[in-house]
Amino acid sequence: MWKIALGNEAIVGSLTPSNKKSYKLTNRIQEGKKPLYSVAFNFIDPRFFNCFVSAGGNGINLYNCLEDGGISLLHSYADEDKDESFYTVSWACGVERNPFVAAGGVKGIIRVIDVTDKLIHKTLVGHGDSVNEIRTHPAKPQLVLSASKDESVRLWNVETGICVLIFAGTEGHRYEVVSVDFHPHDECCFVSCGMDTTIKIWSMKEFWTYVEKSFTWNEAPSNFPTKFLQFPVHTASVHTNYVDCNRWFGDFILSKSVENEILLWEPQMNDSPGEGTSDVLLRYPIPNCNLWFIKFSCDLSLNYLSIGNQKGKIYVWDLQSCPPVLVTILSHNESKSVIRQTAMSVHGNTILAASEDGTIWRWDSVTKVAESL
Amino acid sequence: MATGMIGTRPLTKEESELELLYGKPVTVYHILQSFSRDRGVKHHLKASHDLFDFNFRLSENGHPNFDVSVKPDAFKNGLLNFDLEEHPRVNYKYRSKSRKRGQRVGRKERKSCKIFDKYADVVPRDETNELPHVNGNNISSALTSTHLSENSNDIPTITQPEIGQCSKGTHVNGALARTQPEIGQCSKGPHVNGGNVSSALPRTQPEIGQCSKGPHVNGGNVSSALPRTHFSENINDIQTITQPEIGQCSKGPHVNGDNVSSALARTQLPENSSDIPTITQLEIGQCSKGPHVNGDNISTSLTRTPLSRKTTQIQTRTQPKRGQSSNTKGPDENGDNISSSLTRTPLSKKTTLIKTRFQPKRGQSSKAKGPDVNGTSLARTRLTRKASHIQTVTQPEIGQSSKAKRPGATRRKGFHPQRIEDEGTDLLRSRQFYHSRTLQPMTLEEVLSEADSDNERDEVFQDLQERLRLNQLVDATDEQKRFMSLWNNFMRNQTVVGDKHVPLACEKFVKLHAKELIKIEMIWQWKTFALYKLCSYRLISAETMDKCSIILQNAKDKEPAEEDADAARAANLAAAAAALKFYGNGA
Repeated sequence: MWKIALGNEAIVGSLTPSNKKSYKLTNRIQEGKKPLYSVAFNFIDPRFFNCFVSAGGNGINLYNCLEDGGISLLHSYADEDKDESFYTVSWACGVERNPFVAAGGVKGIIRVIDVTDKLIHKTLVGHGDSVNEIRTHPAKPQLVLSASKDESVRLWNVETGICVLIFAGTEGHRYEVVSVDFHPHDECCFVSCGMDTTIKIWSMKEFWTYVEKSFTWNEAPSNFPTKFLQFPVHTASVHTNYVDCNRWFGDFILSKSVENEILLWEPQMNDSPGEGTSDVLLRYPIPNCNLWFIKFSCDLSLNYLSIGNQKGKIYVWDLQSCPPVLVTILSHNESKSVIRQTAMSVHGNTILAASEDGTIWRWDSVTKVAESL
Repeated sequence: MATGMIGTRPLTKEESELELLYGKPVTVYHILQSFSRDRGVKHHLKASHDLFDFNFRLSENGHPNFDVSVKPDAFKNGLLNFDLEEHPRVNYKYRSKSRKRGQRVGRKERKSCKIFDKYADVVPRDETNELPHVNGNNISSALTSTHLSENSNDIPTITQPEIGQCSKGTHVNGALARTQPEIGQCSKGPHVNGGNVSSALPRTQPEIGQCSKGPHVNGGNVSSALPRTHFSENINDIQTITQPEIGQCSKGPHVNGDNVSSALARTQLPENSSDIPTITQLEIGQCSKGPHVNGDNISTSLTRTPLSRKTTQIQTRTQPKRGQSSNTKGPDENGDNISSSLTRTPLSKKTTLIKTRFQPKRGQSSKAKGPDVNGTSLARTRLTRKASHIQTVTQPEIGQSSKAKRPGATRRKGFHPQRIEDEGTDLLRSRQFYHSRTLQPMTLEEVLSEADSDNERDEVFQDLQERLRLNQLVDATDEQKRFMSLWNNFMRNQTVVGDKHVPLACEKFVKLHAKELIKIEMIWQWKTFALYKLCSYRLISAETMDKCSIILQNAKDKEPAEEDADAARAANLAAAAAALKFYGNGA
């Protein structure tokens, strides 16, 4: 597919939009004054593909995207501690496919809310500092990874509330871990990146029995034999500055630093754990994106990537083309504040943007699509 | 005024001094003294401790009880910041009538006893993650600091003697600073209000800093005082008392305004407190739970129980007035409460006389901030005749922590092993602990289990580390590395300290890793190692080699037939034979 010879310079995408697909602003919601740091569509349960959750300040709100462009508020949760500021939110589900929302923030505790009961299902305590990102396992949505400022990544079982594994230590991250992502196919593998400029790939294969044990553990959660993994499978230094978002793209990794670009690269993993070389394949430039904690998102089939920048614009890239093609730039003259995270719907027809001034922007594609959202 | 109260003894020199200080006819101390007068409290221990007064009495059941209160002048200068350790030792003289009552006689003439040796509950508690076990039934008998303040203005503050406790005073209003006696304690008191105290031992928590759970403790609630419980109307067997909770806001429905009563708003004894054994402790600043204990509630101190109509058996000091709850649920209760403190209760109708002084007449709401009510904080009056009924007697617990570790603990503290053990673990029970590595909250069993995790070894990790280390060797083959890692990991787990251990260790090793060693290449590794290392150092002998070989062979035999099973066996045998021959000579 890629006609790139290894060893060549990475190909840089051009910033002229192709406008193959265009979007228009259909709605915007002002949530309040607190910055919204995270917004996420539910990719786990097809019944809820239209639902998204947003997190900012001490509140978590669930919305439904309506077909006509409207957004309806379904639930609104507020942490009792006014000082809590949620940084990340992710959908998960219980063993009976009941949807959960896992949110974490500056306090370092992760709230798992059962959406159907509207109650807190579990509170996951254990991180020593704020939680920067929570991601759900694609195949086992009861498992959730959390990346924290305390330099560790923890694997939690949200159904039982157990901290299963802790990824930190000698070869772990040396600074805040900002982003983490599960591998789409390999259930034991995930990638994490942080402020120590490294991107580490971890494997839980050896401890998979503990992961399975966590589902059936019925004693106190603190008695669970939580293991520490200190050695990642691979460490890559692709960036030279804080890396604040990484996602798997098949076996490649898309990662973003504060240098106004997203890199697509392939980790070369040798047999022995430790440092390996990595090849940068493509570069997606994004102007005005040098604040840290701006995250990008993709649709479910990884056709598109959308990312906001600090001027309030959204860049949509086509992931399937090489050289990289910019699909479009979304901007609005009232959207001026930093867009912290975007969310794309399942097919990429709706893009949501959470911005620093507390607004959620909803863009819908104008090309008629048969499937909803 | 040497004789400020009816039926009281003449003021002692100390009391006169206090009087001078306060300019009041009666100090809490005094009142307490009065209470504890001949009636039976004769034996009260004259607390010569700088700060505290002890009054001892017998409860109805013959259990010794004692009240601790803080001397008024302790707060004169604001927050009390003392270290008990530094207090001069006190010589106690314990005259007790308790023997007469069949009580256990305390130590007499105990010298240099340290009060409040243990402060089990002084650890600041993190209430956000509190486990149920932590809160507890800690009845802190603690020092009920009573301090009367006539009008909130005068109340300097009531700091609880409990050291180390941060006063969480809910709202110190005005002059009252509150210090909590009980640190971290949440007043779990069953909202002592109204009726709920039916069960014995209401135990209102002395919690310091506890905001009174009362519906609205507002304003002047400041009660640094310990709101003591207020017993509900039918507290028939209320045993304990509310701890003097300093800083507690009175749980009263609306203790507002001047509730501050530094006074110990004592509880309100339920109307039929016929057998209320104990009394509400001086609750300093207690706002009477009375419906509207406000304003004058402060009545300083000891508003002990509201007058009870039938003080027939007023056992304790603060007797809520029979028939009247102190905090009254009744309108007329209030006012009384304030009554300046020491309303000890039982002002029965007969004692109207005295009562009036401080208490708003029955039937008058205490709010009546009627002139008579306020000010007088030191409700002197209380000591009404009823007081006479007070039995007194609490076994003084000298040198013992005044905190009852268990609910309903009688004051008869001996060297009960359970109690001692409990006291030892009090600190462990007082707050939420976390594991140090995983930061997961610990359960109480874990905390108390005395398991030491310092020597924990993460086997998997160490194995891995070893393997990594060996990996770095460039001149070793993979099998060699594998064998080395197996052997090293094995040896790390064994305790091989002597030469004689080595043969046994070898056998164990072979048994343990038989499956892996059977492989042809590994067998070679093993043999080379055994021969060239162990045997040449004479650590093992031919017999051991033989045994190991047999083990290996057996393992091999057990395996499902493989193509080269025979060959392997043959090789094994040959090797064994060779080894034997080799060592047959040398061993």
